[in-house]
Amino acid sequence: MDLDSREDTPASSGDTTDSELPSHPGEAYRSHLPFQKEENGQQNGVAKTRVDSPQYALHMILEGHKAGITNVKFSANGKWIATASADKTIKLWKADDGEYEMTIDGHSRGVNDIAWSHDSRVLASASDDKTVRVWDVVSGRILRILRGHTSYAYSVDFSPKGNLVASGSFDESIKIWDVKKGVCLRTLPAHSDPVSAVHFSRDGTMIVSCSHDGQIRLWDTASGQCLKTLIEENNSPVSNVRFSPNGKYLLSGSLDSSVRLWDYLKGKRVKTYQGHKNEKYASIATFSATNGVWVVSGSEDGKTFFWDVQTKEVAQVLEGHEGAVLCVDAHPTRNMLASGGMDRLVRIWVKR
Amino acid sequence: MNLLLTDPFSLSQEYPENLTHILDYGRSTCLRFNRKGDYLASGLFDGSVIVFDFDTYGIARVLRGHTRPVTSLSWSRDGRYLLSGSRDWLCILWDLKDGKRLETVRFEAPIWGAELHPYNHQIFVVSLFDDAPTLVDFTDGTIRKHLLNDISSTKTSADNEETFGSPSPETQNDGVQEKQSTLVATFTRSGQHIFTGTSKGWLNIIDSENFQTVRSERITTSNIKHISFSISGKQFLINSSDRTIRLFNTPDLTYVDPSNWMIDIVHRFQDVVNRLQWNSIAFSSNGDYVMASTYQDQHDIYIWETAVGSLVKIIEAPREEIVDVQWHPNRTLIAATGLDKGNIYVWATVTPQQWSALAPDFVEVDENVEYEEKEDEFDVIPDEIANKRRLDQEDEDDVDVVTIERVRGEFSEESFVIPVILEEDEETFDDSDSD
Repeated sequence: MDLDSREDTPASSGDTTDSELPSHPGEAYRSHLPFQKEENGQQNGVAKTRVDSPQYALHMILEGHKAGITNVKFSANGKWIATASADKTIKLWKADDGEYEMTIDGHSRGVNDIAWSHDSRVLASASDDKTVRVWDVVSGRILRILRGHTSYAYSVDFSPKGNLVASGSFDESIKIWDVKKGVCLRTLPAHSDPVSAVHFSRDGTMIVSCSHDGQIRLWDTASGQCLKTLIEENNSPVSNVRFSPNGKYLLSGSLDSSVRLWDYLKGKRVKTYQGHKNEKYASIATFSATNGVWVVSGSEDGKTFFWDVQTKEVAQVLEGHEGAVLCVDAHPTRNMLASGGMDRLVRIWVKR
Repeated sequence: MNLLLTDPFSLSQEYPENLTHILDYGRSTCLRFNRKGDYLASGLFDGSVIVFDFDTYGIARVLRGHTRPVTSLSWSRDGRYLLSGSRDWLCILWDLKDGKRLETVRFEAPIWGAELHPYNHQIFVVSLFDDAPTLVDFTDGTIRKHLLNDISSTKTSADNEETFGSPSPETQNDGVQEKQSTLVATFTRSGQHIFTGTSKGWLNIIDSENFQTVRSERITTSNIKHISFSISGKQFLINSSDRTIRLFNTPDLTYVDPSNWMIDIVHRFQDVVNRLQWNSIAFSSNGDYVMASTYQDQHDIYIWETAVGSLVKIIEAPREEIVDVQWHPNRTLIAATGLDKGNIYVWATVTPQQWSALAPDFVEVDENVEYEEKEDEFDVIPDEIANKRRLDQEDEDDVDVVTIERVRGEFSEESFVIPVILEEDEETFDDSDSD
């Protein structure tokens, strides 16, 4: 987790990225380091005998990006898949048949994160070019460029009402933007290391953020005040955090190969999900709630893990990606999961 | 969802202290919050209506249709529709989804006030300048206007000499119809009755189904300027030109015989020393407080509490007379609009940062606490064991990450979200429109 290592991990060190692409931390974190050879089948025998497993199987592969996939997101209406990549572009695909729709081009460096507005018409993206951009997905036109971060913009999220965008950056701050005016409403001096994720609560009144400083913080959207801080004792960098679908819990991923579930009101960790490998990249963990409730996360060994929320046992492991799986997202209504990895591919999995 | 983590001390603040925002977009004449309180509609002197997004304090919609000052605004229950009444004799019902007019209703006189039925956005009641109040119903597509002829029936109960408030009530001319007009009309919380107030101080209660005046009561001898219900509907206020605001308990309107309805006066609020007139009145969100803005020279907002009726706070407004005041429906926040410039002033409570929130091991203590070291506090434990211990601490109880629970004190109803339009060619509001 040496942040300075981004300088000395040029693109040529791996066969996963095009060497002409500039080196940037999005790559260093999510898409860029050489393959880890699969060491051992970490979860021997799991998911084979279990009755209640999500039973997902590969459905299709979306191919087109020229560098690692940093994030994949289904739109709120379930019609679209948006993918962000270190190749500076965002691509849109139809969720039904995986048909390629368009490429959104404009960032001058790799794209680290994307977020859909609730009406599925607008997309926000955060990039290493320090900007957050807001796009109209119908026309592919740029609507707003939000400038203000002094370092790489690393994470972004839309408020449920679509009027605010929150962004986290390597400049260690969170900015809350008025999308309509295109101005920054508030800058929160949030963390003492890069902010790796921001996520709005279901009602938009709170924002959760996490950072490589090992902390997860909850913020009041209206006042900008910190409401709560959660720390795991071993202080490992937290690379990803989100609210549970009902907003009562937080799911965080940290670089000690653990995904954790927190009851933030009690300030207490309630579950830890382990078995995958996550030590280098900001791999994204999420919930899948259409077909039973599961915790899902990619792993640096190319696998995608499903855990049973209650028992913490691994319920299914999906294999297929070469190199780390950096992002996963579950379809809002159908039994469908998308995973994206350093191998530049997006795999779509559906229930058998 | 943030309520459970918010400092209980700041939540217990009952009325706002600090001027936090000044919204300067045109010359505002009236204000209304939607029920959730995330939008504020402002009617302008030039006839425009502006809907502010209260998350960003930016403009969510600009509605142009009126040509004369807007006199009243009313939100539908779900927050999707907004009714505006103006001195240009029009009432317009707006659909905030696209900012278009759903209905335009023309009257024969300037509009004093127009209010939507609390459960049906296709019914509204309107009070007109020098004309009878009217209930408008376009539920079936055609506009039907029903005159609420409340004045004539006041004669029958004019024998009732009992008056509220005024120390020396005018003697009534028995049987002689006084020339009076209805100044205000408002629905009860259920929408089954309409309360109207007249220029001679009569309160009339009208059945909104059959348009009959079922009860009349003389409250005072001068104009009734406002009637305002608390959010619960249990109490209502009457502001009249006799410089007194009267607080009443709402009678139980489910009783069959209207003559049994008890219209109890609870408190009178007035400034005995300065004999101030009150421009506008409003309840606080929980109904525990009443506020009023003062007429002319003193630019103040008075706040009384309703339990014992004492004055608790006078908010000084900056530089201009306050014409309309509104209390936020669920926050400790007051919005008011000035007469001269038409700025909107917002007073709110300012929550101090809780420093203990920034570090989970810290607690805020009032007194010094003697520190006692625990037996194993600084023991060095190998990582694996520590990790295992932490995992063992986790309870094996099931957690529910999906079901949405209601939290007390939170507005949990579905409320309409005005779509954010980001297209460049959208009409942007020009500040030079003011005045």
